[in-house]
Amino acid sequence: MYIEVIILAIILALDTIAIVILFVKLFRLKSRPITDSESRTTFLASSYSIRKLKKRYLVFSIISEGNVNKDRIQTSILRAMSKLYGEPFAYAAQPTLIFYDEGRKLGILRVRRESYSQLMASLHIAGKDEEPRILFVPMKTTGSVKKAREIIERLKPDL
Amino acid sequence: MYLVDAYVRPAKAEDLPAIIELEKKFGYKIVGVDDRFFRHSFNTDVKIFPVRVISAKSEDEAKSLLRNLSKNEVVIAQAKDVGALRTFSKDRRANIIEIPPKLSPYLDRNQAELFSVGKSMIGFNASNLIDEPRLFWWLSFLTSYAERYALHIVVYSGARRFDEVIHPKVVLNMLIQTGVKKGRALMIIGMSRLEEILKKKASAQI
Repeated sequence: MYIEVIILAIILALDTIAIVILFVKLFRLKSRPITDSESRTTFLASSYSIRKLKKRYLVFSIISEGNVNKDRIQTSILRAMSKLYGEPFAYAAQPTLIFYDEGRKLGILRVRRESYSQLMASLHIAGKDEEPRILFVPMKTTGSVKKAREIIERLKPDL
Repeated sequence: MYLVDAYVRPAKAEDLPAIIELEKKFGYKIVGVDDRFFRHSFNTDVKIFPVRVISAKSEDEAKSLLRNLSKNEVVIAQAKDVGALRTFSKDRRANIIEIPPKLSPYLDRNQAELFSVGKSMIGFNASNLIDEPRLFWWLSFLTSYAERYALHIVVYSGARRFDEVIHPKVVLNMLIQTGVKKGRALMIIGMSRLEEILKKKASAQI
């Protein structure tokens, strides 16, 4: 008789603890502020299990007759994507130059994973509209910027 | 299967070594060079072959141009008119046929049968995209047409300068963007059909 009562009490106590934990978690999720470093999409993805928007990092080198600066590369990529797929698509793809070494002519481009193929297709016409003309050479694609930086460090300077 | 760039046409003869060097760096094994620049000898691992380009505005002009061709040349025929297109596509001497977008209404089943008779391939010069990016729809149209009627299609750089050489990964993604599946896109880049033609031409020369 006593044993049954004790088991019942333990079950009730465990249930109460589980319910309390659940409520605390729910409260924390709803009251959590969106910080600057964390995008709204990431927050939504973590709260409501929506797929996180992933990025791809393209390690590239450029071949050109003169020196080319960061702005020129950024604008020529965006312009090329706009020419092939239209401006709304180009801006939605978010192609961003996150690193460029002017001496070695190597860089890293970040783009939304869904738009990776479009970025690659538009590399052919990118940088051809003004002098010095640029030839983009795709080298490696990674899923993290850390790996991309490692690849850049490993590459030979002449590539 | 080797990577093949079927046609480059440098603006100046001095540009050709730089183009060939870049093609080698990108992994191309076979490169077609415009026959006007072919005589220059290169010390390179890349196999180069001469390509002759002919262009006709009418059926008669197409016939007369074809008469002057030898069987050992790889020929890219640019059809500017429907008569020229019909003539080129049924003739085995024209290996690759470039079609302008204005002839799209004539690309039907009958035309596809003519391509099969002539065993010719549809060609697309990627350097045209640099001048006119809107032609991307035309590449898309040609790939879907080739897929529907089981025809061969070739995409080549047509590079006039070293910066117009196209990387194989870029070609692959361009083809994927036109709706071609990755396996078929790889086959198009590999161009086994062009390899066959080159072997035949080489054996004919011997």
